[in-house]
Order: sequence, then structure tokens, then C-alpha cells
Amino acid sequence: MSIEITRPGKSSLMVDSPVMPAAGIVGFGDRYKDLIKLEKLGALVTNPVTYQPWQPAAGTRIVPLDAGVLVHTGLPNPGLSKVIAKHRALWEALPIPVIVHIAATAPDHVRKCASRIDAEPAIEAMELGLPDDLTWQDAENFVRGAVNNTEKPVLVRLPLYAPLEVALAAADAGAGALVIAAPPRGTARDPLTGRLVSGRIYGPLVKPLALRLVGQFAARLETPIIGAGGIHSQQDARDYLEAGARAVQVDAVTWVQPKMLEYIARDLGGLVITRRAGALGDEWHPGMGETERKAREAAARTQAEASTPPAEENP
Amino acid sequence: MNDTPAIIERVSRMNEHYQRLHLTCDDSLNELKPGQTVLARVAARWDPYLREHWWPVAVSPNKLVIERPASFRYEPGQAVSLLGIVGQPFRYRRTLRNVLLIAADAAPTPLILSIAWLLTNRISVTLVLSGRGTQYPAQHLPKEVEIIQADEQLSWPNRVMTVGWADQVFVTTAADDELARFGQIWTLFRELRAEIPKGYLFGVFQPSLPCGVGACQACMIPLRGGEACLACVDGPAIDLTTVPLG
Repeated sequence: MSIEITRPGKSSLMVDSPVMPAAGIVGFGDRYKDLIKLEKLGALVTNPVTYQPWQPAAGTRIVPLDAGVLVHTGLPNPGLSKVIAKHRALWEALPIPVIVHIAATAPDHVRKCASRIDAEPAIEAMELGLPDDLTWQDAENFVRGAVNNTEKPVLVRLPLYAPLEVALAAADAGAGALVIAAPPRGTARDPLTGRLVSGRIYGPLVKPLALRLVGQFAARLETPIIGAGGIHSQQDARDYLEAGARAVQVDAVTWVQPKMLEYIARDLGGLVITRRAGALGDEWHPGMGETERKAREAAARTQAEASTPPAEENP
Repeated sequence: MNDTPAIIERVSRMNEHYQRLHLTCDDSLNELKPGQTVLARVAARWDPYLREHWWPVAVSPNKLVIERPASFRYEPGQAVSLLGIVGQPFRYRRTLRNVLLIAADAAPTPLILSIAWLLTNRISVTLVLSGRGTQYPAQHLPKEVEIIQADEQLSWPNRVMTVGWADQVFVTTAADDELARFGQIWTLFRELRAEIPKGYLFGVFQPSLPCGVGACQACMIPLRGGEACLACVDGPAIDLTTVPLG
């Protein structure tokens, strides 16, 4: 059964599972083939790509944190054209849609990337990673530039602390879905060099921050939301769906426990869209059994008995 | 690449700085060769978050011996999850006779597994220890290994002769700023040899490895000509003639 994770229309994106890796986590599809069954996922979201080649960051790139990690890679990549040329055959053979993540560097580059992706049959959709500290006008420019140059769905990943007007601008400009949110930025001291390093923060503590935003935006926006940030278990993923997300992106737990991504996908795969208001727990959690249904029936009987007036006794 | 469970059977203290973990694991790691490593998750909790980068110093069927700093705490009977095999084996020349191993201000642990293999193949081994490397308990090494204690500037008697005599050199250094430190090694060898041919001087890189499979790209090393390689996939030993070290 398929789930539509973007706005309905002729170019909407359908996936079989609401679980996918976040950008920057599993590479371009060739790295985790021994550890994760990619076909169990809803889609493959690639590492961030830019229109032109980017070199790796100099100096410290990883700083261990308490229950987390700070990562500063510099988004190294050989440029969109080389990435497509190198991975096209792999993507064509994958049984799941490929979503290429484009780091929004300049509006002109975003437009060119969108045109390039539009012409590439192996790519199903584009995810546009918006930079931090942008105005709603910037967001609108970036998203409109992408949407106007491709007929494929454009998912827009928002910074964690993006205000609602940025999300509204992205939605109004034609975003097919909003990915909430990018890992937050932080600064930490590298214990090896003693230098302060800035980068993106991954870890379980990110989840409450992003989850709150998902709940707030889901209540105000009609654009589908994909929850991302700090998912480390099946329950974490379910929390996002309960808050209003239509799908989830799993990040750094995949590096530490590669199988967790697949576990989450197996747990949620295909079950989420069958959930209706008032659906029973065992439709939601596989393997939960009949316990909850029986408990509800017993509670309903008790309530019915309590509300029924006692029968009048004939003298 | 596998995610495989293992059990720490024994923990032996080498000295106040180093300890060895004797592991029992499944046979997927039997093919581990010098230069290759595993990423270990030692606890179910999220602190520490990343896997520890473990360098085996001995491999036998279903057994691994790992060397770790003594500051880390492990218990016999402790179950661990190992992700591996990470990286490529060291690439030796076919006509190899003499190998120089250098631990420059760092533990020689990444080089130790290669010693037994080299000696078995009748290749002579010289190990140079400098700086923090001198804290290493060299009495645990085979007697056939020539061990040289260098000073912190990596200077030792007959240095030109030792370097000229070596067919290949593998260097490990402190992980704080590897490119800068390998740059110093490169400069030193440029002074000691008229020419550094390809496949002669290798740096053994030990960056933090979040994923170990090349997905996160945190261990990317820039190469000459605008290319790049990944320490976890193409390394850990990288030919320093290919790295722009200034």
C-alpha cells in the first residue's frame, strides 16, 4: 500500500513505507547495502549535493558530545552532474524512490539543480535544504526557483528554528512537503585539539525540539510534514507520526546501529495509513494483540451498565 | 561489512597506559588483515554515542585481541557489538624486505598487527617510537623487531641509514591534527631522501569514524588533483605522495 507524502497532484510522491534516511546519513545508496535492506525503506534521501563541487572541511569534523555528536563535514561532494553520473545505474536499479538533497547555496544554483533533476529519470524528487538564518523572502525565492524548474516534487527541509512565516512561505511557493527539521547547529570544544568547532548536532536530545515544531506546524499548515531529528527507536518515529508528520527521516542512529533504520521501517511500514481516528492499538503497533480491544470492550460494557437505569420492579 | 556480537573474555593490563581485550566473536572477522579495524559499541546507552574505533593486534579463528588505552573500562563477560571489517589492508610491495614503522607521538597500536605478518614472511621490521609512543610496553613485541626510541623531534642515531634502508614506511601519529602532523613527517622524509616514490611512505589515518562505511563522509581526506578519499573505505593507510601536505 502506498502513502502519498507530498501534496496531491500529478507529481506527488508515493512511498511504500513512511520511513526514510535523512540527508547526509546513508550516502548515495551504495554504502549500507550489506547492513540495511534498502527496499524496506520508503525512499532514499541522498547526502547533500551542490551544483558545483565542494571540498571537505579543514580541521576537526567530529566532536563527541554527551549522548550525541557534533558533525562538520563541509558537505563535500563532486557536484550534481558527477554525482548523477556516478550513481545513476544504482538508482535506476533501486526499488525505492530516490530523493536527491540539494543544499541551497545560491538561488541560481538551485534553479540549475532543479532543471538537472527534472531531466533525470532515475531521480523521483528533490529535497531542498534551506540554510539557517534566512528570511521568509529568501525561503520563497529558493523554493520558487526549484519548483518553477522541475515538475518533480520538491521537499523543503527547514532549519530547526525556522519561524512559522518561513514555513508558510515555503508552502506557498509550492513545496511538496516540509521536512522538519534539519539538525540544529552548535559549537563544542574538540577534546583533541582544544579548539571550538561548529557543526550540526545529532543525538536523542534533538527529538523533543523537532517534535514540538512538527506539532505546531502540523496544526497550522496543510502541506504534508516529514518529521526528522533525534529518532532513535520505533517509538520515537511513532511520536512524530502522532504529532502530525506523514513520514519520518531517521538520522545518526543509523551510523551507530545501522539495523535500527530498517527496524523502524519494518515497524511502521504500511501500517500508518490504515490508522483512522479511534483505530485500535493493534492496528498501530504490530504484535500488540487483542489485549487493548478486549480492554476497550470491557470498559464500554461497564460504562453501558452504569448508565442504564435499573429496571422497575413490578409490585 | 557485518554487525556482529562479541564477548570480552579477558582484560589484560599491559602497563599503566595500555590494556588488551581478548574477544570471542563469530567467523566473519577471521579475514581481518593488518590495517583493518572494527567499530565497537560497548553499551546499550547513548553515552558514549559513537562507536569506539578498535584496532586488533592479533587475529585467530573466532578470536580477536584488541589494544585500548587503559583509561577506558571494560569487564570480562561484557557483550559488545562489532561493526566491521572497516578499511583496506596495508598494501605492501612485492619485493619487500625491510619495513619501517613509526609511531610519532602516538601509540603504535595500528601498526602492531602487521608485525607478526611481516615477520612470518621473513621481512625485517624496525619500529620507531617517539613522544607518547615511548610509553608503549615494547617488551610485548617479538624479539625480532628492532625497536628505536626517538626523541620528540623524531630524531634518532643513524636516522638517514634507517630511512634509506627501508623499502616501505608506515607512520601513525596523534589524531588531533593528522594532516599537519603528516605534513611534518613528509617534510622530514624530504630532507632524508632525495626522492619519495609512490607506495613508499604511508600515513595511517585514525579520524573519528561515525559510520565506518563511507556514508557520512566525515573522514574524507583531500587528495592532489581535487580528488578525495575516505579513510574508512580507502584507508586507513594512505600514500602520502597523493595527499597535498604543503
